[in-house]
Amino acid sequence: MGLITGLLTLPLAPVRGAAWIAELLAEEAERQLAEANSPQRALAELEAARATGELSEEAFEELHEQLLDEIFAARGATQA
Amino acid sequence: MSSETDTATAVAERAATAVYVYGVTRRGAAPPAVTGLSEQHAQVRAIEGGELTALVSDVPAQWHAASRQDVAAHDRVLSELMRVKTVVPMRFGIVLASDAAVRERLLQRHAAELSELVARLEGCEQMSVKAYYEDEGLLRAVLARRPELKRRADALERLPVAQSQGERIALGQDVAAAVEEQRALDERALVEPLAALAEETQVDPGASDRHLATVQLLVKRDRRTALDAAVQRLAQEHAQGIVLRYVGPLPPYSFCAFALEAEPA
Amino acid sequence: MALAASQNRYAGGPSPSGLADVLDLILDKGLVIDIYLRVSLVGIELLTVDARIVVASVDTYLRFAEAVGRLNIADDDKQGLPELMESMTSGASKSKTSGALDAAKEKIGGIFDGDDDDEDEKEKEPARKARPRRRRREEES
Repeated sequence: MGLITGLLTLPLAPVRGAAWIAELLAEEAERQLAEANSPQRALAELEAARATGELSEEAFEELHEQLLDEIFAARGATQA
Repeated sequence: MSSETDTATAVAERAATAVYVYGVTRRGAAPPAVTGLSEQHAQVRAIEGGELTALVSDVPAQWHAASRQDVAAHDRVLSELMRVKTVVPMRFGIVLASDAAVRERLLQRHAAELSELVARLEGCEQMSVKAYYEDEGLLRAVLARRPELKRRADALERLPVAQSQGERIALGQDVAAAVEEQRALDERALVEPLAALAEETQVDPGASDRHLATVQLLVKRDRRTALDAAVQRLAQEHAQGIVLRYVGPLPPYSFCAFALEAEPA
Repeated sequence: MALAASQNRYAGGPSPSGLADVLDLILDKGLVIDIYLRVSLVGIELLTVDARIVVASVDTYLRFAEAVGRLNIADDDKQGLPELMESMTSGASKSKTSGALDAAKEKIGGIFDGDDDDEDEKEKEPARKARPRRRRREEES
């Protein structure tokens, strides 16, 4: 229910315009994928999305690599 | 013992290099022809000690993992080695002070434990099955088993929210409990047919709402076909609510999760 | 379709594994000997994944109740394939999920150029099919 649970917290739009919803959902999805204090959760969500077919293999690998690179870079910065 | 370690550490700190250990096999393993994880000394080499061999790379004494490529290299070396020899994989990041430390403190001092591990793994493979709920698969399964929850929800739809908070919370609590029950049932249905074919099984609970569980299986090579068929059968049975990710053979990390010379707790 | 793909998914055996499949194992499992030089593992624990946490709160319970209310389960367990596909595609939250992830990828930025020619459409089938996987490395069959 991960992404759906998050979506339920959004305010209901007065008019269901596709573009407005898509923008809001994109922000919510991005926020969930890039939770700053929980890179582990983002990794887990990526794997779930790949398994259910929502993310292609190529997209998953790109995003997973990017996320790992960010995690390592952040760790390096805090150790400096 | 601790003074030995201190001395070894001091030696390593003065020395230019230390020794990164990938894993242990029976004697005579040829180093795999793949790049290891150090830029300076990427070659993998073998250190022999008695009946056992450690596969290692030289790394700077102050080495630490800097990138995902380091982690990938660890697995690459072990995966390649695993194709020809039973391997006891080390956890990522095991750097010992010197060749002598590897030979004497790891291979010779712990020959009995290592040999037993190798023997246990011989002829076996680690396979991994991860199960995920498709979008609303979990909730649908819950409501199929507990239709009265849906009836209660529908009845509440007709009441003003402000005046039915108590009932909504109570329904939510019952749904939450039913969700946990469903997860437990689904996990058991997943694990039982697979564990029946395995020498050893480890189940990790899901890491996210959509992740049901991860099952790691140590299976005899001649049972692989039966396991493949069982996974395919499960994938078909659950096609409407649960998807599986089935990968392997993997280096048998899950079945070598032990600490040698651990400090008593 | 999505169902057929998952039914035949492992007809040929397991998928090739990638780093994501072994990351937790490499960092958390495997053999350890406690004479290792400590500096090598500082900070690496960031990568191991926690088990999911179930939050027991009024807010959580209200959201569970609402989720059940919104779910359309008419004739769920007696549906044939066409009917089930229709109810899946008409479920609002399912198309939202895939649309949201696609939009998130677009925001993360141009790395998916040429991935898909229907990237711009919001109305499309909910489940993206797994593309032919490129092998990360050789796997013994």
